[in-house]
Amino acid sequence: MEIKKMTCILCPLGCRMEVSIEKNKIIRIEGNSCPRGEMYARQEVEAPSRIVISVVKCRDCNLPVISVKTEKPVPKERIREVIDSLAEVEVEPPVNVGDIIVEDVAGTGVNVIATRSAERI
Amino acid sequence: MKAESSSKMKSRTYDMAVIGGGAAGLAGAVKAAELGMDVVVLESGERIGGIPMQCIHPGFGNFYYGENLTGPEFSERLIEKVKLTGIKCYTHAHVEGIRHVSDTENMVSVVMPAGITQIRAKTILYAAGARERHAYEIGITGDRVSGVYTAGEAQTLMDIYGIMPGKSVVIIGSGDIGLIMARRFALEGADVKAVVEMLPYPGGLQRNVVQCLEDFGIPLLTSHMVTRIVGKKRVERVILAEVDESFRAIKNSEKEIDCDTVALAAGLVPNIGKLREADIDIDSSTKGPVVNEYMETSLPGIFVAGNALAINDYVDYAAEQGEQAAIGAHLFIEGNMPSDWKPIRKGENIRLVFPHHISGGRDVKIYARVKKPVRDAVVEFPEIDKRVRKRAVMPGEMIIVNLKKQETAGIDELTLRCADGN
Repeated sequence: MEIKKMTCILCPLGCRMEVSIEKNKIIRIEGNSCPRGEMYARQEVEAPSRIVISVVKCRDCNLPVISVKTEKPVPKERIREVIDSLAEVEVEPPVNVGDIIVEDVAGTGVNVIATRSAERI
Repeated sequence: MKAESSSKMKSRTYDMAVIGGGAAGLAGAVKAAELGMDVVVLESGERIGGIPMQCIHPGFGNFYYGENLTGPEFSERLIEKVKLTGIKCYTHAHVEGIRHVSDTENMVSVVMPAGITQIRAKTILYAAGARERHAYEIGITGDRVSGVYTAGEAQTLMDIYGIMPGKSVVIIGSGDIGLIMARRFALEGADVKAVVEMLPYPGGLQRNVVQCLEDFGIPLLTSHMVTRIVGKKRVERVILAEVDESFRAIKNSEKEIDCDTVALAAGLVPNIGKLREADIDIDSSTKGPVVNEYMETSLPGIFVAGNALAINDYVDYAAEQGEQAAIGAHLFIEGNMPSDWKPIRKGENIRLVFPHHISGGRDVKIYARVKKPVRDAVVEFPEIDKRVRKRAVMPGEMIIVNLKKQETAGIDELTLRCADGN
């Protein structure tokens, strides 16, 4: 049996929880003060995911870079690949907020979209 | 300064001059324009949008827009509205002084590329944000070398200009800004050696401790302080020490961390220099102006919002305060500003509370911070039997209490307190 320690982030209480895992299955969650904690623990053990943010180069723009984000959370262990694949991306103006900058980034099935607009200089 | 000559600007009287084109200023300008006021925005930077433009992480707009946006997305929505309402915005416009000529006339002296000019306005919304505390304010000594940035400066370099400030980084301060910059550096491939915090617990939200530090395996050194920065031309290392309960370095606890960059996230202070010169009343706990529920300062017709008023947890609050200020400025111009104000006082375990005065004539939102963390807390105004239960309150997380008009009618004063609920 493996015990995973984690802190719930859903409210300022920050419950310290211990999740007991056996054969990839959660068998016990302890330390949470409400059902939301249990939900969070399940999510974090079974499929932890995060929105990834970065900037990409912008050619002939009024800005040297524009900010981007993944449209949906991507699996936590894929964050590095997502960031690395953005390093070579260069966009051209005009860019509007919400424009797709990279489709299916690093094979995650998630698009990277612009969070800032840019104009041609 | 292209469209109008400075002489024309001089003769014109604006209803409201907004100082600062960030979230508070733009939200206030838009609201004022919607109320039919003639508004001008004076922004000292290259572009309007303010600090959220460089805060590219999500967590903005949950209250104001009911959506989780990144900083630039939040600001772009406001900028869009500014464009739609046709509000005049001057960038590179540095406010050099404010003169309260009379209760219906203010002169704002502005330095712009076209020269120095005077802008006349019936009201002012001062929304100049905050400044970051620097190394010398938190007792760090050592060599004056390159590679020492405030967290905000590092963020500007990375997320506005696309420049990496360094490769191996020590972050000083574990407030949300410090935590978020730790993640930002780590995401872009820097080696974040440690986040150093003087207090025995992290200053930022639990969520950020988990998602910014634990996700990336970044060490958090609580009860530690950096005492010295060492290097020849560039930062080479920092010297740190453990601290005792009164934040004094413990002897023989010193150690070194090699790094080429130090990012200081040592807190924000309302940027109110020009208001101070105008001799307004300051609250020593918020370090910002004393205001009524319309965010009006002790000088009639001069309003303040956002981080210039008090350091807020969320940009949403800054925008809301800007709107309240615009509503107030509109009332002021119409001659309908209430004159009878009731004080809101700080009671048990309350470090700060604002607005400082309310009219009792409308719904009002009270912002506060506690001194010490409390579990199962009761936040209350005993005079009116108003009680709000909270599972936990922390100094780092603002408490919001919404007071209804009928709850505050007929009161003389109110005291906010926060006690243990058990």
